[in-house]
Amino acid sequence: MSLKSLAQLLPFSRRATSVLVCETDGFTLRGAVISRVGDSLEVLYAARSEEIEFKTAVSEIIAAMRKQGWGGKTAVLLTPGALSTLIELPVAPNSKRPPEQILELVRWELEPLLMQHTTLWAVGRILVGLGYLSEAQATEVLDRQQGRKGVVDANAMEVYSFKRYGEMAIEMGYINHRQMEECLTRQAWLQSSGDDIACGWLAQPAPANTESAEEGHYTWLVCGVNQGMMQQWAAAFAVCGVLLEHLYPLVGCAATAPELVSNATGDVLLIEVHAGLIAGVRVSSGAVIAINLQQSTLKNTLDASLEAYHVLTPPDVQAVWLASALGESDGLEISLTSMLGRQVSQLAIIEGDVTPGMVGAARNALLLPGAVRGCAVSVQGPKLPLWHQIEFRAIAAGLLLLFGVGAAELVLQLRQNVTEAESVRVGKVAAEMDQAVSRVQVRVDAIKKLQDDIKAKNDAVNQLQKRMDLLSIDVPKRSALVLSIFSELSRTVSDEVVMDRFEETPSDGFRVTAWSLTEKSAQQFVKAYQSVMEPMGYKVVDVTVGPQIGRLSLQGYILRLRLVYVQS
Amino acid sequence: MNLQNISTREQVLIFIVAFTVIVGGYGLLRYRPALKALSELQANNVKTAERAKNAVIPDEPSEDSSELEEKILIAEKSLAELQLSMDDVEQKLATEEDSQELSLLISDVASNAGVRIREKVPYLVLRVAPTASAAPVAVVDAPKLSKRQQRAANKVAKKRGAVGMGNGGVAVNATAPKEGELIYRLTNELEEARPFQRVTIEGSFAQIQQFVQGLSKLPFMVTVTQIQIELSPLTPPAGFPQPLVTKMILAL
Repeated sequence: MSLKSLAQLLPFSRRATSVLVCETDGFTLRGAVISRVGDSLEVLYAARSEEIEFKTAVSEIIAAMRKQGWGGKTAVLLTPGALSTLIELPVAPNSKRPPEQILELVRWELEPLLMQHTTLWAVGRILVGLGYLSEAQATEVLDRQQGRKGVVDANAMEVYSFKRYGEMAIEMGYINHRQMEECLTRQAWLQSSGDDIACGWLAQPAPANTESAEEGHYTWLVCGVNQGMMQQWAAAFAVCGVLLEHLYPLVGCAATAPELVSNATGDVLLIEVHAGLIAGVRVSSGAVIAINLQQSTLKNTLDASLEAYHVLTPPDVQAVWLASALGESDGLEISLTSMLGRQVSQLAIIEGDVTPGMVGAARNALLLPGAVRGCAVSVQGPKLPLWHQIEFRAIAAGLLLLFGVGAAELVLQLRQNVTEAESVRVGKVAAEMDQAVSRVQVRVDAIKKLQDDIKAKNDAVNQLQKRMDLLSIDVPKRSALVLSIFSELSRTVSDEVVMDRFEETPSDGFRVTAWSLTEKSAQQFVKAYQSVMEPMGYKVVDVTVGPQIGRLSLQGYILRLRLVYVQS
Repeated sequence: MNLQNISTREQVLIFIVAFTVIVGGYGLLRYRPALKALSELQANNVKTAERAKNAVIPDEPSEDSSELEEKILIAEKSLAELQLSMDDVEQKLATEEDSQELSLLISDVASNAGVRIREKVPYLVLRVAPTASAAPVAVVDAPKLSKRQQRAANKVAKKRGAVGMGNGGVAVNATAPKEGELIYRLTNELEEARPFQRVTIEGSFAQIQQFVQGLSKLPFMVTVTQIQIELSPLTPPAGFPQPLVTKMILAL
């Protein structure tokens, strides 16, 4: 898909591929759907209406087009009510001036010309055009109305000079009321009440080093039309669902023809003849440099054409082209060639019912090469700069939002990617570290388990050894000790000593209490008992001997001692 | 509605509304959650990096596993040998089935020694650190026992007394033995605590000595863990020596 085709998708930049071109000469309305094929044009459908009411004629044309299969929604109109001419403005073609300012400048220049042009469509001209008056009758009625000498007396002049042209023609018996009404109806095709005018303009690329450009004045091809009339036509098209985009002058549009592209050796002259109007257009370096508009009748078309030629030359031109509708000015090409003594060529006609002006207007509307040589009035007003178009603003705002969201998404995505990459990297490092730790930890755990097993086994061995020692060593030792204590006591106790108390305590060891008849025998017992217990690790301590009455109320001595185990 | 009729002010307002809706919606529904998820991911990354940075690889163990396994085998072997020896020693310990016979033997020894047994009751000692295989023998301090525990202890004592001592006496609770004492060790250091009996006998010193000697000659291991000898408060008949009352705690 090319950039151009992409641009076609944008509503504000869309370039139409076909357009309905309508043309009126004030008496008929013809229409043709012209389509662009490459850089050339093709007529798809054509129709013609002879209705008196222009609104009805528009409906009829559009209905005929719809019937033939046309589905478009835009149209342009060529009308004699529009005037195209060249003016010089102190505005450079590439100037960034607001359209309102240029409009005022153009309107200032164009308004008197347009008012003068509008007079061409006076009642008399229309009546002649309709064939209800001859040229002579029209002149006679006008002379009488204006009280020209020799036609009416002085009193009559006062009477007639306040009468309208149509009333005068009726009074003179040239036309009837019906014809007058038809004339007024036809006049509505070309004129409207109100003084506002709508303008269109197009800068013409001035040839280099031209005098006017050096003075700061630039040539602009301008077009003007009565605002009220334009709105009437636009409303008539809108009723049928078609948008009337531009109004073109009836003659002059043929200058967009590619044949008029002059080469470097000279200029080209176009003489466009249509519906009583003759436009002479001089083209130089692809731009219009002069326009001459003539009005004619069938009888003096040749003279008017010659006058247009002579107004625009010298300087001499390289080629002369003639543009006229088929069958409208037969033989004019030959006559001009003969009279001028040079070749006058006829512009090619695409289709019989389509005039060169319609083709030229289509070429301008479809922006084909040469469109710069045609000028139209935009019904919607001067085309706003791109930035001022609401569609552009809407799309720009949408794109701005889209760009913002896209930028945010991009940032998010970038950060996401960076973070995920970091996550992968960190995860890999952590996994490697975990793996290394777990690998060593497995070995540590295995060794620890073995050590724990060893410890448990050793504990079990120690525990068992302890029990073993208890049962096999300590308990028998205890039994032996008890036996020894008894046997040694019985052996060391003399006849003068009797045992009163023998007590084993957890903290004080063995406590022995005895009674002795004499103190000496008590001491002998202590000594003897100490000597026998020492080998067994016991020591006699806390020995006390004191007098006390004993058994059978005998006077004797009480003996107390403790036997404690001494760790060797 | 003709778009061309929208004024610049209205266009700006529409743009502001659309901007607010679109950017707000995008921010709330997409950007903010995504940013939050991103922040969490980044925090997770930092955490993971920190963990990886601070991770410490433990030192490789210097021990050889085969050596350790060999030590285990040695320990197991020692354990098995000790267990065999222990089994031999434990042959001398009276079982529950032997308790009645042992009680009879003690009575027989007393009879032969000429001492009179005044009391022969189970002596209950609390096992301080019971092993998994050994249930607590009884409780020590009566005041500290609940009624239920007291009933359970009496039940155990009654059972042991009936079976082991054959005396039918009421069991007495021991004061807590100190660590290192023989009673403590026989209670807590063996796989199964040994039963104790408190025996009070009356006789002369020589008879008591003969009784103790007789105990040491029994086929079962009977150990005097505590002994207390004192004069009998009763006055003997004329010509007879003053008798001695001996209280003994026997480990069976």
